[in-house]
Amino acid sequence: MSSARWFTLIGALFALACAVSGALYFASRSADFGAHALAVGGIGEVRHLDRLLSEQVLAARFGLSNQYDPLTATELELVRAEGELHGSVGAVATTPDVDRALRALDRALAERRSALEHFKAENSVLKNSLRYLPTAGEEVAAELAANGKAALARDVNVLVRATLVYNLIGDQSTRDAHFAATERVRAERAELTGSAASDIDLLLAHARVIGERLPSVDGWLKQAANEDLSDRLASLENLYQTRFSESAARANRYRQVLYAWSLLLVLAVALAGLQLKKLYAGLERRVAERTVELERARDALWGEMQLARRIQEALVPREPQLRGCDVAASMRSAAQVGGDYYDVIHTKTHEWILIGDVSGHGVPAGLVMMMCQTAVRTALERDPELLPDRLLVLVNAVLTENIRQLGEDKYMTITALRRDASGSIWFAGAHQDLFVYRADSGVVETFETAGLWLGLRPDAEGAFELRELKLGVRDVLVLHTDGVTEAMRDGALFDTTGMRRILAGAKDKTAGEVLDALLHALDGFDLDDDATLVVIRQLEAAPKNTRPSTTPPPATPRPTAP
Amino acid sequence: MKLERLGVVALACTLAACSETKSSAPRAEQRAGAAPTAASREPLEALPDVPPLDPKIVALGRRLFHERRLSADGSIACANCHDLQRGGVDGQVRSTGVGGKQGAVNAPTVYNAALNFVQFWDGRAATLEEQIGFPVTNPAEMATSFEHVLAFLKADPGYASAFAAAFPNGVTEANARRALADFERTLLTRDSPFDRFLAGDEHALAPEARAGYETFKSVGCVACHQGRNVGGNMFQRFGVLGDYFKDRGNVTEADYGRFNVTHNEADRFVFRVPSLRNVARTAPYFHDGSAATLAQAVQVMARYQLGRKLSDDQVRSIIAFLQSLSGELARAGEKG
Ligand code: HEC
Ligand code: HEC
Repeated sequence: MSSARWFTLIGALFALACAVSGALYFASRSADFGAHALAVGGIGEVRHLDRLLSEQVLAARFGLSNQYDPLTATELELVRAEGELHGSVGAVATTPDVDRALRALDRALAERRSALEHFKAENSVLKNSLRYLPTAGEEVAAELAANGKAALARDVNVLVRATLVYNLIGDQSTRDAHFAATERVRAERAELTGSAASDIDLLLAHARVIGERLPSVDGWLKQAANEDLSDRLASLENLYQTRFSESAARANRYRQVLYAWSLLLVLAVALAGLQLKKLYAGLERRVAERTVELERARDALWGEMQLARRIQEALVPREPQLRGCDVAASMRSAAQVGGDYYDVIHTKTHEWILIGDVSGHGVPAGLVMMMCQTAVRTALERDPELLPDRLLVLVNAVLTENIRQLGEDKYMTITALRRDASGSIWFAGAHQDLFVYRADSGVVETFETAGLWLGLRPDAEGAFELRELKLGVRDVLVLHTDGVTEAMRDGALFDTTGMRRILAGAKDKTAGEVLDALLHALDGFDLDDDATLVVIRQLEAAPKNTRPSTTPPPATPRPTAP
Repeated sequence: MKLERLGVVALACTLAACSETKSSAPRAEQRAGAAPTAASREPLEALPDVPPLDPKIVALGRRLFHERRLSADGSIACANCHDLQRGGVDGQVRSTGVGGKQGAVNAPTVYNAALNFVQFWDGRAATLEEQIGFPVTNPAEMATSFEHVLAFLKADPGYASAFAAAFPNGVTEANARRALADFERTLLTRDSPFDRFLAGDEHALAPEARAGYETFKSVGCVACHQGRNVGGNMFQRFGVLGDYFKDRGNVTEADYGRFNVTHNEADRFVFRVPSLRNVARTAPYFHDGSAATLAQAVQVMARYQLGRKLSDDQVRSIIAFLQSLSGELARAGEKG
């Protein structure tokens, strides 16, 4: 499988796992106990108000309270509390049966309120009539008696009494007695006219109110104080509690499932880990392959550096020697082989010392170095009596042409020194300054070198100036490349002062010791470039008679203070 | 319900009734007025305090209450029919709405309406908030719609900012209802002579009014007009001991009262018992505006609701009592 598809698959599986976990989490959340408390509290409040209302209804019916404000206030509270139940119970249990129970409760409450309204109305009216009837009866009876209607007056009193007894006992026989008395008075009233008649009409109206309202008030009372609402409430509560514990149990089950699922996920993650490990094994193999490739490439590059180094090593003389001199030389190659070059050549009549530096690094620099050495040797073989300035003109011509053919943009600094049998050293060509330690004075003299760099233009006729220096016994000549003076430590150059300081202490030291001192001083300096040092110490006085065939102009040494 | 308990209470009550029966008529009425039973309270109670309300909302409600532009043609405000200077009514038999249309019933006062257990003669609105929808949409009143009202309120910068200051969600129907209702909740007429009397000031009621109060209780007016609002806590048939509507004639649908809401035959001609607070200011009387004076109204009550004949003295003193129920209009609605 390609890794892109593999990752899509993993992503999809991860999303699925998240979705399932989320769903399980929501299903397993334990029922909200705050909402539960609210619902239970709400049910409790409705129950309380329901009971209070029933008590208040009874109190109103039996004259223990004389107005309905408290009753009405309780009723409105009950309506509010019951209304809130829909919210609080619904927030916890939303099953259809709970819904039905709530609606049944609504209906019971509505019925109860309707009964309550009728109860209030009829109870008031009944009370008024019950209270007024005896007074009205007494007045009417007195009036009738005064008008000589004693029989009717007596029947009126009977009616009042029968009605009150009916109110007290309320059974069928007292009810019958009440109606019989009413009928009798009504029948007798027909004969009457005037105020007595209307008084009896009023009396009869009150008797009728009592006869009708007594049973109906108690009917409404039963409805208004009945247990229907509290029964409905109880069944709602049962249902609610059942649903709540069911939902709690369900949440528990889901929690267990969630645990199992989590376990599964852990396993899956472990498996996926293994799979990933395999995947990484493949990746590692490929990384290894790539690494090998890289190493090869690096080796190729490294090989080139090695070649450059080998070229350099091949060119540089192993143990340079000069007659009557003690010679020590060192060449330190930088990591990237630079273009340092030095050579010591013995012809029949002269000894040559060459020191130079090709611009750039690596193999190309090495090639230029090689060409230079070949050109020098060829020229000296052809004409052993050449003077250094002439030699450099010839070498420059060859080198410039070769570099052009190579297509490289290179040049080279070089100083050529010819040591004659007489001991004179003739030199030419621009490279680094030459330092000479004078053994008898202890002074370090500096000889500047000048001339054209090789490789810049083919014709260098007249571009080099020939100079001469002479070494006395135990004098020390030091040649170096810029790698030495440009060695750095803590941002400071080793510089020529560093060299001259060491050289000033060269008295009675062998060339090797001077070289060691120089190298020791260089320790701890960073070499960015090749660093070459050649130390030549004159051991015995040279013979005065031998002179070069051409007389070179004398070099004028500039003594410098140590 | 525990029937045993019912029995015990019934017995106690019976004893009380018996003792009343045996006494002579005047004494019986006297004692009834003095509430000899275990009655927990006086049948009438003092006006409660205005509940704590947000003054910003109340001020907004007051503005809306007087705003003619809420009606369809910009001619009628709530205050037109419920003139706060005139006892919260318009003094008409039937109110005149947008386009001169006549309503079906007499306008009750908005003063102390907050204390009524339901709103309107037939109790068809449970709360003040619910009630407000009716005049706004009634074609014989303001004849508009809440859409129209809300559009106006939103477009008017003064109202928009007043709503924004009073409510977090600015102009909405619920907020407009709430503002008007809260304003009405402040319309309690405090400091009536009768309330001062209830508070213990013996001199607050003139002797005639004092006697009227006793009569009001003893003849049974308190059986219906009772509680803190002297009414407004129950429904009653108009014509308990006589057929009021037959005697009056010309029965209209509005006369059916609560029947129009419940369609229950038992509720025909049933009305919410009105509050009698400030009743001296709210003529004409009854849902049909048929009684021009208090004297007429009291006589009708005595005849049809009590089945009693009241003497002229009794009527006079009852009227004196009813006049003592007038509270301070100027201060109503100021607080809160
Ligand atoms: C056209 C006249 C008219 C206007 C305008 C009017 N009302 Fe009324 N109001 C009535 C009438 C008539 C009733 C009685 C209606 C009934 O009971 O069926 C009434 C009843 C009420 C009641 C019930 C009082 C009680 O005791 O039951 C309140 C409260 C009320 N109005 C407030 C308002 C408010 C608030 C407004 C403005 C939004 C308003 N009214 C606008 C005529 C009017
Ligand atoms: C059986 C209950 C009942 C009794 C008792 C009763 N009333 Fe009424 N009262 C009513 C009803 C119901 C109304 C409203 C009738 C209607 O307008 O439809 C009413 C209306 C009134 C009104 C008119 C109020 C208004 O704003 O229109 C007055 C005044 C009044 N009653 C005074 C009395 C007096 C005084 C008594 C005692 C003599 C009394 N009532 C006894 C039920 C009763």
